[in-house]
Amino acid sequence: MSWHPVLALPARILAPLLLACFAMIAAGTNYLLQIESVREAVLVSEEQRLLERLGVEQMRLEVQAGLGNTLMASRIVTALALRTGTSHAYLIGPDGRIIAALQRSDINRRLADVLVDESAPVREALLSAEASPVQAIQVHRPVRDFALVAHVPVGSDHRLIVRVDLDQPMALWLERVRSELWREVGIVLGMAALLWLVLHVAWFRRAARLTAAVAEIGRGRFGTRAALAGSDDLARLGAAIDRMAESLQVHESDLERLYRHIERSPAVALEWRNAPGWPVAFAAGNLGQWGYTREAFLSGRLIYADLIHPEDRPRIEAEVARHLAEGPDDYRQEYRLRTADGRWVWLDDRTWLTRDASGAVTRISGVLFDISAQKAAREAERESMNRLEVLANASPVLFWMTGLDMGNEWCNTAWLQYTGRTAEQERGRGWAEGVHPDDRERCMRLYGDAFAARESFSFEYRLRRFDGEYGWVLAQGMPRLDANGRFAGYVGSCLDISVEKAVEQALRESEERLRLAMQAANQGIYDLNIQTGEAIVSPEYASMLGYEPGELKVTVAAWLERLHPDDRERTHAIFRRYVAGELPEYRVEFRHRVKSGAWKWILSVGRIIERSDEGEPLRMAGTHTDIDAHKRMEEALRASEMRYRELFEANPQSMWVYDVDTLAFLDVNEAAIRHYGYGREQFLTMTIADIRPQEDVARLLENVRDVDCGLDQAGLWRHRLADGRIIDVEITSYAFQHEGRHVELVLANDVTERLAAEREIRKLNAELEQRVAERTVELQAMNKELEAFSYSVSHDLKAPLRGIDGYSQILAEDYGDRLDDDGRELISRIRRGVGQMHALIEDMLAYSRMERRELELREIDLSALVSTVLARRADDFARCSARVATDVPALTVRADTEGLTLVLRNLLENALKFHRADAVPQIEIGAREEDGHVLMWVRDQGIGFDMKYHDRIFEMFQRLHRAEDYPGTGVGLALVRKAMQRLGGRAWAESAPGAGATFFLELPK
Amino acid sequence: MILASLLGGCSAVPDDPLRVGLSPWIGNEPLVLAREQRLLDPARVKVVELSSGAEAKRNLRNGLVNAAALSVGDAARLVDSGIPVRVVGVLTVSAGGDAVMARPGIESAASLRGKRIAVEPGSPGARLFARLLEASGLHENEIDIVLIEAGHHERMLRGAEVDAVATFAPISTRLALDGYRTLLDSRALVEEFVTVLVVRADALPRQEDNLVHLLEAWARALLIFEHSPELVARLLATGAQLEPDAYLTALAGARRVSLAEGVFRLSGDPPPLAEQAAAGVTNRSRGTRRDAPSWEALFDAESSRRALAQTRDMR
Repeated sequence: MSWHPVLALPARILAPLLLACFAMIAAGTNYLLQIESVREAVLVSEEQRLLERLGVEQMRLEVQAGLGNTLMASRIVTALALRTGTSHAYLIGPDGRIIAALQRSDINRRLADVLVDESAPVREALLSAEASPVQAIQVHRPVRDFALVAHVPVGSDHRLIVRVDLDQPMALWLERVRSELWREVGIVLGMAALLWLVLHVAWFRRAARLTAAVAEIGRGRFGTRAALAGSDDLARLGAAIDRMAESLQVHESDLERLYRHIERSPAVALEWRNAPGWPVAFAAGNLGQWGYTREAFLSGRLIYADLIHPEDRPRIEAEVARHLAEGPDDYRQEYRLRTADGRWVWLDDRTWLTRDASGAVTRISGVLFDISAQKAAREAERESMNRLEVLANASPVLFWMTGLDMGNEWCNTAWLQYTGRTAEQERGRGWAEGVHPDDRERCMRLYGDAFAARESFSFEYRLRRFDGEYGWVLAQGMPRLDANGRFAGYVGSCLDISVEKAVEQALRESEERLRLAMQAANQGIYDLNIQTGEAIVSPEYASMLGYEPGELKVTVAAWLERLHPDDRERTHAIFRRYVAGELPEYRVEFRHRVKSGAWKWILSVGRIIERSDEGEPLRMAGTHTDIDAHKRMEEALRASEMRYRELFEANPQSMWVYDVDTLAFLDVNEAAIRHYGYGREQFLTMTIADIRPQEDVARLLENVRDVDCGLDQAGLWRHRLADGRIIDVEITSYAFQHEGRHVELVLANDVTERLAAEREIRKLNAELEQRVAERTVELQAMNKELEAFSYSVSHDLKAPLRGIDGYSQILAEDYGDRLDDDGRELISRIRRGVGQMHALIEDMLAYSRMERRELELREIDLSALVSTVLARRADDFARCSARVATDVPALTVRADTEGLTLVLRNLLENALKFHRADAVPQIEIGAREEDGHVLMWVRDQGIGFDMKYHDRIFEMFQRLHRAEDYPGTGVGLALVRKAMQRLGGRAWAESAPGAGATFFLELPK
Repeated sequence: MILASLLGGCSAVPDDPLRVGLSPWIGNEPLVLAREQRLLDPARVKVVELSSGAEAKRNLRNGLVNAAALSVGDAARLVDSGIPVRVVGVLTVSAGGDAVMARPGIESAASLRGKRIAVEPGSPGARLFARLLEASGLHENEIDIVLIEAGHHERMLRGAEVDAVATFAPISTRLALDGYRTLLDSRALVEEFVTVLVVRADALPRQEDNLVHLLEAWARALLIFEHSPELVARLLATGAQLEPDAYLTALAGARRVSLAEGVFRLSGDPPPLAEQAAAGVTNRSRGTRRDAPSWEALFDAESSRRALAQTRDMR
C-alpha cells in the first residue's frame, strides 16, 4: 500500500484522520483483546448464574419430590426453559428414565434415547454428565460444546441434568463489547471530528492562510500579510513572516528606488563573466548614456573589451589579470571607452571580484563613472595651477599651501628665499621649524583650531629668516577645496610685518608709559568731540568713576547729568565759557556721581586741541583727576580743627599752647583766662615764664630744653595768678610741630587743694599707724595675759577636779562597802562627772592652744605620720577588734605635725566611738594628691549621721547623741576644723545614717 | 478488521424469542403440541410450561415471559394493576375443565361448611368457587379458604391437607379418576372462562411477527387436535400425567378457539370479551364498581388477524 496519497493529504485532514485511525486501531485492539477474555468471562459468569439458579431449583425439586408433588416437580423442570440459553433439562429418576423434561416427548425415555438426534458434542456432554457421579451440583464445561452442563443431585436418587447453551450469552457479551467498540469508535470519530474542527479553526485554517501568504510572498507580492491572530506558535510564525514580508517589501522598495536612482545616476553598474573579452552578465539601463543598450551587451553582440581605447587596453588587461591572479579584489581603473557615436569617454571603473571557495573568480562586478568632464576639469585645473604657481613664485609675498595633514605641500619662491631653506625642508611639518620657539605652540594651536573648524585664520608670529634672525610675519590662511569641493587643506600667505611690529612695539611702550603715568596720577583722559558732544575716555577715566573700561558712555549731556546738582550749573558755565573762548583755561572742580551713586571730587582740566578752518572748536582733550581724597582730607582737617578748637576752648582745665623756642603763649583757653585772671591778649603777650615764681624759672628753662615731641607728664609746678597768689599745678603737656614751629600744648591742673588734702591725710595716716602700733602692743600683752589666765584657770580648775576625783575614788574604795547601792551610784556619778569635766577642760585647752600656738610648718611624710598615729592607738583598735586599712602613698605635705596628728587622732577616736553595735569597727585611712593639694580621708562603717547636721557637728559643744550613748565633749570636730584652718586647709564630711561616715581633710601641698 | 468486527457482529446476537408461559390448563395443550411438533421455531417462540396460572402471571409481570395464556379477567386485572398487556389471541373457552373437586365424603357444597378448600387467587377456579358459594348459600367465612397456587392443590387434596380444591383439568381429571367428587365445573358457567393469549405491551412491537408465528402454530396445532386427537394424546398424555384415554377426556373440558373466532372475540367496540374483562376488574375489587379500562388498549386482534390471513390456505 502506498502511503504517498495519504501523506499527501493536507494536515488538517491527515491529522484528525490519523488520530481517528490510531484511536480506532486502539479500540479494535482493545476489542480483540477483550474477545479473548469474553469467552472465559461468559463461562465464568454463566457458570455462576447456573449454579445459583440450580441451587434454588435443587431445593425446590427436593421439596416437591419429598412431598410427592410430581406436577410441581415437572413444572419446576419445564420452568427452567425461562432461563436464557437452557436448551435441555432432564429430571431423571432412580431407574434412569426421564421424569420431567422441557419436551414432553422426552418423558419416560432414557437420556441416551432422547439425545440420539442431538449433535455429538451435545450428546457427549449430556451423557457424560449423566455418567458422572455427583454429590453436589457440578457444572461442566464440555470440551467440544460451548455450553455448560450441570448435574444436580435431587434427593438421593434423582438427578437433574441441565444444558445451557452459551451462544446467546456469548453473543450478548460480544454484542456488548461490539456496542462498546461502536461507542468508542463513535466517540473517537466524534472527537476526531471535533478535533478536526478545532484544528481547522484554530490551526489549519490559519496555517492554510499562512501558507497562502507565504506563497504570495514567494511570488514577490511582499505586501501580503498573514495577519494571524493569537499568540501560539503559528501566530508567532505568521508574525515573523509578516515582518519578513514587510522587510522584503521595504527592501524591494529600496531596491526599486535604488535601481531608479542608479538608472538616473551617472554610475553604470555592470557585471562581467571571467572570460575572454569579459562578456557582460548584467548591465544597468543607464548604459544608454553612451548610446548602448543592455541587450547589445547581454546578447554578446558587443564585446566590452573591444570598446576600450587601444592605448588603454593593454594596461587595463594587464591590471585585470594581475588582480584576478593576485588581488586585491577591489580596485579602480581609469580608461577610455568608445561610445556608440564614436566619442571617447573617460571612465572611472570601480571593480570588485567575487571568488568561490576555491578562490576562482566567479563574478567581476563594477560601477562605471563617466569622468570625462572631471578629467577635462582636472586638466584645466592643472593648467590653472601651473599659472598660479608661476604668479605665486613671482610674488614677493610668501605663499604656501598645506594638505589634509596640516603639512606644507607647496610654498613659493619668496618663502624659500625668506627662510633660506629648500622646498623639501619646508615640506610637511618642516615649515614649523622656522617658527620662533616662543610662538610655535601658539601658532600650532591657532592653526590647528582653524584647521579643525575649516575656518580662515590670521595670526602673527616670528619666522626665522635666512640670516638666522626672526622676523614678524602675518600669516593668513583659508581653507581650500579640491576639484570635488572637498576640503583639501589650506592656502595662505605670510606678510613680513617686522617693521610694523617694531613701530607697534614703540607705540605700545609709549602708550604704556603714558598710561602708567596717568594711573599714577590717578588721572583719566578724555577726548571730546565738541560738535557731537561725544567723548572717548581712557580706562582710568572710567575706573575712576567705578565703571569698567568701555562700560561708561561719555557725552557732554551724560557728564552733566552725573554732576552734583550744586556743582552742575557752575561747572557747565565754566565749560561753556571756555569753549566760547571767554576763559583762558579750562579748570574746574566738581562732584561727579560714581557708579555706586556716591559723589567724588574731580578736577577737570582740558584744552581745545583741534579747530576747524573757521576756528570753531572741534576737539577738546583733557584729564580728570580724582581729588576726592584730597577734598575729603581738607574737610576732615577743617572738621578736626573745629573739633579741637571746641575741645580747647570748652575744656574746664586751663590749657594753652606756647612756642617751645620762644616760650610765648600762642593760644590760651577760657578756663585759663578765668583761672589765672589774665586776659587773652595779655596772655598772648606773655611767656610761660611770666606766670612762674621767679625761683622756678631756672628749672622751667631747664625743663623746656628737654621738651621733645610727644606726651610729657611735666609734673608739679607753681604758677602765679594775676592776683599774685601762688598755686600748685600739675602740668600735662604734649609737644608737636605746627606750621613749622615747635609748640607744646599744656594742660594745667590746679592741685593746690588736693596737695593740701594729701598732706593732711598723710598726717592722719601717720597718727593712725602710731595708734595701731600702740594698740598692737596692748593686744599682744593682753593675749599673753589671757594665755596665762587660761593656763592658770585650767590648771586651777583641774586641781580641784583632781581632788574631787581622788576623794571620790577613796570614798568608793574605802567606804563603798558601807554605802548602799544608791550611795555607790552617786559616787559613780560624781566620778563620771569629774571625768567629763576633766575631758572638757582638756579639750578646751587644746582648742585654745590650737588657736594661739605658733605653727611649726615643715615637710611631713604623711604615710609615716599616719603609721605613728595608728601605732599609738593600737591598743584601742585591739580592744574593739577594729580593722584598720590604710591607703596612704608616699606623700609629703607642708603642715604642723602636732596639729595634723591631733586631727587624725580625733577622727580615729570618733571612728572607733561611733561604730555600729552589731559590727566590728572597720576604719580606712587614705590619701591622694590632686590639683595641687593633698586629700586625706578617714572612713568608718559606723552609725553615720544625717548630712543636714554636717555644719553643726564641727561647732563647739555640738553633739548629735547623748553623752550616755556616746561619751564625748563635743569639741573634737571643732578642734579638727580649727586645726585645718590653721594649717591652711579645710575639713568636711560625707555620711548617711547607718552607712558610716567619711571625713575629708584637704591640705595645701 | 475492525470494521469486520463491527459489521460482522451486527447480526450475531440472536433475537430474543417470544417466551410464552403456560399453566397446566388443558386448554394450553395445543401450544405444547406446537412446540413438541416443531410447529414453533424455538428460536422465535419458546413455550414454557409453568406450574400454575399464578406463576405464569408472575413471570409475565416480572418480564421472564413476554406472553402467557391467562384468563381475560387476569389480563384486565394486570392492566388495572399497572402492567400494560395486550390480549392478542383467544385460545380456549372452559367447558367443564375448571372444577371444584372435593374429597370423598363431601357430597355437596353445603358439606364444605367448616372445611378447607384450596383456591388459587384470581384463577377461574376462584370464580367457580365463588359461584359455588353463591349457589350453596355459603359464606366465605364459613369455609377455611387456603389461597395457594394450583400446583399444590392436588398434593394438598390427596394429602388431606384440604378438603376441596378449585382446580382445572388435567388436575381435576386425575382427581376424578381417583374418586374425588366434582362439586361444580365450568359447564355450569358457559362461556365464562375464556383463556386468552396475553402479551406484554412493551414486547408487542418487536414480537409481533413471533406472535403471528405462535398463533399460526396454534392454528396448525388445532388442526392436529381436530384430526388426530389420539396422536395428540399419545404425545402429550404422559406429560399431563394421564393415560391417553383420560387425556382425551380432559381435553374435552376445554373448547379450543379458532383464529377466526378469536379475531371476532377481540374485535369490535367494545369487543365481546370486554364484559368479561370488566367483570374481572369488578370481581377483583369485590363488588366495587369501577370504571372499565380502555378495551381498545387491551384487545388487539391484529396478530390474530395476520395469523388468520396466513393460515387461510392451510386447510
